[in-house]
Amino acid sequence: MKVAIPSRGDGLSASVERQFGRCSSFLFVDTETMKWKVVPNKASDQPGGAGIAAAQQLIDEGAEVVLAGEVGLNAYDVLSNAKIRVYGEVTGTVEDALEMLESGDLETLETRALESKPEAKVPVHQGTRRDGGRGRGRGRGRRGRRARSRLQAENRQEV
Amino acid sequence: MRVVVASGKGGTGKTTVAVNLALSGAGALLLDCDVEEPDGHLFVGGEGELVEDVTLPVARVDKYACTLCGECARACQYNAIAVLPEHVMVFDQLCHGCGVCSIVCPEDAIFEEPRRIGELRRGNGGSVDMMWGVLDVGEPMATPVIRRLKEVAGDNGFQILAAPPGTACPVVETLRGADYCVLVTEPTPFGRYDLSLAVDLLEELQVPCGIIVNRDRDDGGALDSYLRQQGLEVLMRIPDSLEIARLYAKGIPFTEEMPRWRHEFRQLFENLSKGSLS
Repeated sequence: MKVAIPSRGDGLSASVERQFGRCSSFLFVDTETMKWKVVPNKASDQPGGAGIAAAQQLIDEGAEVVLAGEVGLNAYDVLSNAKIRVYGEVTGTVEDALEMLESGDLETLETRALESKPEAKVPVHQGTRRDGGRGRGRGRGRRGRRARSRLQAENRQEV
Repeated sequence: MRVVVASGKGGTGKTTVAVNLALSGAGALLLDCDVEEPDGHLFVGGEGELVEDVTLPVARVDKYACTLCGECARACQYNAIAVLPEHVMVFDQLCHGCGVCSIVCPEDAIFEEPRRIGELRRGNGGSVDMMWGVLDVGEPMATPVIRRLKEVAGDNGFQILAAPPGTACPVVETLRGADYCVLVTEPTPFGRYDLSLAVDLLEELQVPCGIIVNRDRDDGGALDSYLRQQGLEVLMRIPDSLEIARLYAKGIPFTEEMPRWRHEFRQLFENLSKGSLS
């Protein structure tokens, strides 16, 4: 599977970086072939939305798993919605990280969130707002779906 | 005519000056542009009444027309859109409502819908009409609310705009189109430093200014030497007065209780409206 690791340096001895959105680069490893490549993080100097931009980069590269230190709210939102498994609290080198993944020693962020706050689906509260859930994307919760079908119906009428 | 009351450092007395200045002149409109924490209405206007909701257009994707090509995410300067393998996510609070995504979308699948970020309110007290903006708690962008407040206030008459503290985007938006800026400062090192940032900003924006020293007391001449060096005109010095502070704490504009200051502010108002400063 394709694993992405925020890191600095080349190859398996590269060190894992703690932050996600503004890390210096991502090391991609295909755990089947053990082939790797370093992709510089285009999001690192963005003034805002760096987590989202970094996550978008991983989606575009086809990542399936992320081994990270900490991942911010928005980045986690994008990654989890893209069905990418995100592991947190990863430290050491890329090689160490892959070994821990292999031996099942890592915890996904979703698992940690569920353990600490069973009612939460994401690490920190997103809250509910009267504009219908988080108002991001479509189909999130009851209000989202109703709002979506109403808006799409309106849209089709215009067309 | 638009006179902005700004400061640089927060807490120097913008609200005090703006409110008392507005009360001193006939027919002035007071606009509280510190939409993140407006407080002018505590002195003039109270709760007031709602004028309108302030909204920002936010991008929405028609999932039936969308082909997940990713052009919108690539075009967005604010990283407010992510295109995932099966759907598109829009991050409302990052979306600046610029509309670029809807323009680049090859399928015309992106439209905009209004999203509330705050509101405008109006009230009056004494001889003053005022309007203020309130940014909803949790919203990151104050500037669009300020812009709308100024739009609704229009271009006519004598307007006094109380700016937010600092020298960032919301302050720049408040200063846009200003004829004059009254900078309120205090004789402290922080006050002086932040004043210098505000002075630099006004120079960039080419807005003439004058200084009011509030809570004036002996600082060994440090503030005065900076003002002299910059060639800045001192319009008024308000002393570090317990009586003024007491009235403020009770929500009473001090010109209402202290005739000498009523006269001073009236004088300043007249000079400003005649355009006889700078």
